[in-house]
This record gives sequence, C-alpha cells and structure tokens, in this order.
Amino acid sequence: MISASNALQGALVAKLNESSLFTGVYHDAPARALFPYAVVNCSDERDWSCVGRSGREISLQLVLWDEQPSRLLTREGDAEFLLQALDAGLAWHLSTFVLTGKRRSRNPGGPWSCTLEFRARLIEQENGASE
Amino acid sequence: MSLPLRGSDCVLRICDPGTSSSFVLVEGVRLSSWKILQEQVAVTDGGDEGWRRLLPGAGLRSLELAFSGMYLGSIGEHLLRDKAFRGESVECALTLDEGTAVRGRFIALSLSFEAMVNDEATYAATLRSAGAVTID
Repeated sequence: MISASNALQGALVAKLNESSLFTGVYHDAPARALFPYAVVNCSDERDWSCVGRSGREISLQLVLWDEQPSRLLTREGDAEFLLQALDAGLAWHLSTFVLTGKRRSRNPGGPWSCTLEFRARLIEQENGASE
Repeated sequence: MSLPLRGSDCVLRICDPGTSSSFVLVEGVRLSSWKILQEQVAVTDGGDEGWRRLLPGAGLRSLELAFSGMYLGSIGEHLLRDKAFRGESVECALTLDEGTAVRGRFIALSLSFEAMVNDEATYAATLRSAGAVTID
C-alpha cells in the first residue's frame, strides 16, 4: 500500500500541477527554475491510528518562490484555496488539512518566498469491520 | 511467557439482537477502559476493634466500560448512538486480547460528542452493565 506521505505529496503535486499557478512543483529547491515555482516537503510524520485503522499525522511545508512580491501574494492565496479540495486517493482518506503557519521572507537581493505550513491527518480507507 | 497487552488489541464490538446476530466493531476508539464496581455490605461490629468488616459475596456488582475516540460514522457508532438516544441496552463484547472477552448487555450512561472547527469530531461514552457479565 502506498504510504500516507507519498499519497499526500502526490495529491498535492497533482493538484498544483492542474493549475497554472506555478511553473513547476519540486521536492527540493531546484538549481534553475522559472518563477514562480513551488517546493513541497513532508517533514514530520507521526502515528495517528485508532482501533482498526492506521492513521498518520504529517507536517507539510509548501514553499512558494517568486521574484514579484505582488504576484506571490496572489498565488499563495490561490494555492491555499486550491488545497482546500485536496483528495489523498483510494488508499488514504485526508481527514483534515489545516494551515498551521504562513510566513513571507526575502533574501537580500534575491527572490521572495512564502512558506505555508500544513498539518495533514490521514486515515486508511475503510476495509470492513464486522465479526 | 507473559507479554504486554497492546491497547490496539482492546476492541469493542456491539450487537443489536433485535435486528442482527452479528457484532460490529465500534470504530475510531483511541482509549478504552473498564472497571468492576462492587457495592460494599459492612457487617462491622464491636468485636472488630475499629476495623471495617465487609461481607464477602454480598452487594451488587456491575461493570463499567468507558471509551473515547474519533468519530468515523461507522455502523457500530451509529448503533451505539441510536441505543443511547432510546435508552436501550446493547449486547457488548470487549475483547482484551486474542483469548479473553468481556460480554454482557450494557446501557449507555453517557455519550458525548465534541467537534472543534479544523479538527476531527470525537466522542466519548460510558456504558454500565445491565445484567450479568461474563469474562472468558
């Protein structure tokens, strides 16, 4: 079975790629990419199981990069809205996907970035439970 | 060899004999506990030198199950909810491990739901035995 973090990352990348908000979605900071682009990282994962079902709680960071701050501001709002309708697929059910933090920064002379932090809770899909 | 009992092995199944003979799992449970309640019958007298004396085998016993978890909307949770609303008893089987189960009819003393925005809805229930309980 696909892991919860794989399912979540896959769903998120697919969702962002469906839109034309970013030139690309990457799992690591690319050496050369056209702005605006996004970088996804699932950093922490912990058990979130209950009787009869496996569960995972995953901390996920989405870092958006752009050289135009006003465009970045629009794209981050659009991305946030898009991700409200995230579906983790057949193996895992995305129970909640909550924004836990958001911050903007800029390296001197470099591009702007916006880091969106989410807490995702996934539970494995139902597999029957009668005696 | 004795081994620790895993919490995930403690599962509660319930059955409504009026409609079905099969037990269904109460899903979403994260914490479960049970305790035997025994009424005391004191037979202390002057010869006990100030120490309380209890009569063995006397007094009423009951068993209380308490559990809480995440509400998944499963068949077992719905059955429990419906029984609690009607104040009816339900047949319960609490499995402690592969070979031990506590069985009997129980009535919900309390059933509560809690739903916080941006979080999963949770529930908690306390069941009290409504007749003889067996452990085997």
